[in-house]
Amino acid sequence: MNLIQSILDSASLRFLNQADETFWLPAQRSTYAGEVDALFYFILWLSVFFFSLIVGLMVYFVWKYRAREGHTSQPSPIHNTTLEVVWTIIPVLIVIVIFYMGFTGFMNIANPPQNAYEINVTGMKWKWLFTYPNGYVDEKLHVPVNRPIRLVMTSEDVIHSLYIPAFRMKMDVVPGRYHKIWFNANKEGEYDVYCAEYCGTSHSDMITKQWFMPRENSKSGSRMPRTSSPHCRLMRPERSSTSSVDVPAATQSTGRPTPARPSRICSATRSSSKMGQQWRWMRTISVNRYSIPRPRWSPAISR
Amino acid sequence: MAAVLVRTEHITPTQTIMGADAYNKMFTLHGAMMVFLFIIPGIPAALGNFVLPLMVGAKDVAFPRLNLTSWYLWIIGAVFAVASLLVGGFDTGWTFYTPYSTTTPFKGVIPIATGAFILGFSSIFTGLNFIVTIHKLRAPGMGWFQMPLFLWALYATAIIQILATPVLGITLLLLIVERALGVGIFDPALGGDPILFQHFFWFYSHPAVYIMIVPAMGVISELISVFSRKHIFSYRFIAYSSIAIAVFGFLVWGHHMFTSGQSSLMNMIFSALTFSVAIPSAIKAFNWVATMYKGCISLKTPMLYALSFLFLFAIGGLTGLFLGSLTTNVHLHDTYFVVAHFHYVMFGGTVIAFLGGLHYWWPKMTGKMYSDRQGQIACFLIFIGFNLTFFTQFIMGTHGMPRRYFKYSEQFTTLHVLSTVGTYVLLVGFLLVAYYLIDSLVRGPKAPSNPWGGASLEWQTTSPPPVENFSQPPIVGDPYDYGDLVYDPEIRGYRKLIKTGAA
Repeated sequence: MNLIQSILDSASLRFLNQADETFWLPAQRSTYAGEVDALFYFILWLSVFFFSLIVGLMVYFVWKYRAREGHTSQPSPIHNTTLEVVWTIIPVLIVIVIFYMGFTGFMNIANPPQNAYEINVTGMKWKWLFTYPNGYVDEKLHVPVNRPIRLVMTSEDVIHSLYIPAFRMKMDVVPGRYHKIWFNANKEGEYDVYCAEYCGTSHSDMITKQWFMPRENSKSGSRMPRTSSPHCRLMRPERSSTSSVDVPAATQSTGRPTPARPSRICSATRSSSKMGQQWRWMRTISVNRYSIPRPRWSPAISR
Repeated sequence: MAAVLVRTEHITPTQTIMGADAYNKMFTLHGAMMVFLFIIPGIPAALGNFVLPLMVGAKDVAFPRLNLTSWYLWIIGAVFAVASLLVGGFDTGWTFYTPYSTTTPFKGVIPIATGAFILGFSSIFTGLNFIVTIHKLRAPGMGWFQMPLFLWALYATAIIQILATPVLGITLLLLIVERALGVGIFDPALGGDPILFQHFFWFYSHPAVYIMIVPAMGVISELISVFSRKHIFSYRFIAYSSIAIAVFGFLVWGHHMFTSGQSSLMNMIFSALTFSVAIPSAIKAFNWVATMYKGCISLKTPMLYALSFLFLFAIGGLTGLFLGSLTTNVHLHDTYFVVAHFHYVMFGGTVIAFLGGLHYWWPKMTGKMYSDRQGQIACFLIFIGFNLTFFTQFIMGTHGMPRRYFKYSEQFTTLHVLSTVGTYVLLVGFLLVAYYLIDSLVRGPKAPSNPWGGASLEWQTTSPPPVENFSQPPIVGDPYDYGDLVYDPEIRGYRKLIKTGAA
């Protein structure tokens, strides 16, 4: 059943940029996820074909030429150059196609658009820190949908790797280096951010969440009421543990959430003029529960 | 055993039987031990040292004392590995990535790195010995293209062992120097470059994968031909493809580092080169299948392992395509998909071929026959257990389950439980193998000289072979020509057809 489902999914990939979770892959939530998945399914069905060919022939031969009374091996040629050349050339052509598809897709992932919104990322044992252009620092990643986001990443200690399966995005976070990666999220929700490079005792706890804000609110130009910020809503301590939560409609939210600790207001006023309207909510939010070490760099340098 | 504990830990998403540190040490122990102590020396040293001199028709390898030295070095390396556990263990993963490995609080890193360094020399000596033996000690009349394909595979392996292993030695030495003396080579805090370590490490460790798989392919070439009673199809293509894998294998190490931040140009080049390795492997698989055409196939235990190998290696090889291609690699890198792919090649490939080879040459080595029925059951159990354990991990990997995770997200619970159940089935299979092989030593019937009807030279001598291997000089012929071998029920083995004057 799942297999049939995945066939249907792969067939419809071209038309769906936001396919949901399938038997093989998690939901597609970035603009380039569809392209990655298309290649994935191409290789998958190619593999299924060659696997069936090899194992099918093997099983058929084992059955047909099984040792039994009155059966002996029959003479047949022990070499056939044409055959060898054919089954050398065909795989060569196929891997060239696969290589080319992977290469073009990768160049897209590796080169962020010019207008990307930049967030600095610091990995450390065992948490992530995200520093926004206004100087606000948080352990969780909050980004708007439908806007290219560029992450400039480095590590405080050992190598980590920022991995968001829903985006098909991964990049090592290396001390002493700045690695860049970008994405453009295409649907609001809450997604897992993993550390994919082994980094010690609590490696598997180095998970955080990522939220996407609807961008439409900001386009209207009107300032969002603080109390109805979807972000505030999501930051409630009792938030749902499911990995993909739709952002509730603004009107559903009533009352301001109470942070776990007294709020520490971010000093975002300085750069408020440069900030897009959609980032105003940041000034009202504080989830700064840890004392955060000063980042090695200032956001201005890396731009 | 560590693997079973690791899998048991994963029955539940959080802590089950051990803490995070213990888990991290356990998977590291499993990786380092299996790679350095078993899989790398497994086929070349354990099977190769016995079979290679027989196959070329020699009394022994070219340098018997060097061979013994290599064995002692292996023991010393193993002692260091055990010592590393006694001083606190190590939790770096078998890859020893810096700067984690130079800063981890556990003190076992230096001993295990020293152990791996010494094991490297053991491996180099074995390779050296094989190359000289194959060049110099072939029986009169045996040209390069009259050698069994297993020897071609061992030759290709030996080249990699000699050329690549010194790089690992130096890298581990540098790691020890940095950790012990604080000299900054890889740690950026000391002015080093952590990516440099990855380049060095994979420059050895990727070819090392071929040290593991190429001899396995050689074993399979023997088994499929013998148990199909057919001449191997396209001998030269299989022989050359072994060499091609050895050569290309040196050029693809960068595909372990697509997400490490190396330049896009390098990523592109390494991705392209990586696919070049897929071709010789595909050629081999096609040729093996073609060998069975019009054969007379008997499903003895070694043949069952050879067929399992074809099945599992096909999956292992094809999933490599996902990892060689850049965009899919970015998604799948460092997830369970890689773990599953690696195990399909290393376990489904190398270990299965090792078991096949072990069952094939066991009568020759020990002079005793084991129970074929029990062997078939064990092979079946291992096949089922293996697929249950590792196929589930492909699905977890594509969904983004990162490797080396002590805890995991609830969505993966079912697959993890299935995978663990598979491990237990595997364990039962292995215990059964151990049981009947030991049992055969005690109670097994005496093995004939040629129980399977093999045409290569090792089957011309007695089982087990006498001192200096051959009591009379072996007669060199085509190693895959079974025409003049007939089964003789009286000796429960094959013997040469005595040609009458008319024939």
